[in-house]
Amino acid sequence: MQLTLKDELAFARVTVSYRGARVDIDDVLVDTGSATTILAARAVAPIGIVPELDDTLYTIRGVGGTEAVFTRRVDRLQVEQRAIPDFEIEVGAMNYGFDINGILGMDFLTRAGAIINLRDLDLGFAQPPDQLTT
Amino acid sequence: MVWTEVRKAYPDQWLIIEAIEAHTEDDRRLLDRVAVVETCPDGTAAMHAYERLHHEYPAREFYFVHTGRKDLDIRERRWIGIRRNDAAYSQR
Repeated sequence: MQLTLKDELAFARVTVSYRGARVDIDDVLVDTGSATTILAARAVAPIGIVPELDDTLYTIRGVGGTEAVFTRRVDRLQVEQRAIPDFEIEVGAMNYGFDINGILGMDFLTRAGAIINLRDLDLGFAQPPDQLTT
Repeated sequence: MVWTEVRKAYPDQWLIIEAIEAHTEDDRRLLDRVAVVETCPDGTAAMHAYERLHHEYPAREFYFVHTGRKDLDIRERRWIGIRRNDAAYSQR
């Protein structure tokens, strides 16, 4: 996966599969400083990922206040050919004032065996995949 | 109001609520007093209402919730944030 560098930040495209539907999402920040993965509500609503009664809610507290998000277990979260099944994502407003549709966090990157090559701006994955996806 | 009162007053309803008084115990965000800000026809509308309110009043603590939920059960995660460079800001 060719990473896109924008203002010194690295972005990738991810694919989400959920209840038989799938969507490609661009402008997802690759962030080894984030433990978890969050996607923008506007990006995942088209495949039916919307708030439900019994979702677990989180409040993300940090610089600039709080943001409420819900979590959802998706069937697959995928970067090119590397897919992690049954993966929990956070879904939030993500109105940060620049083009960002999500943050690909360490929960995905470690489970996927990601290799971030910043010289070539390539997001690759260690082989063999079967031993790395849990 | 407290959550049990909100549930009684707005049965089977999507809402935007605001935390008027709240505190954190371990990783639990506990809302001691809440205000109902908006009623919404469904979860999608609630998310849209949340996005609008959160954008307009970033310092206030809103949530999108359905009153079918017995306990609010909100967990807390910390986020230091994305650090952007000067160039990114000067382009705006």
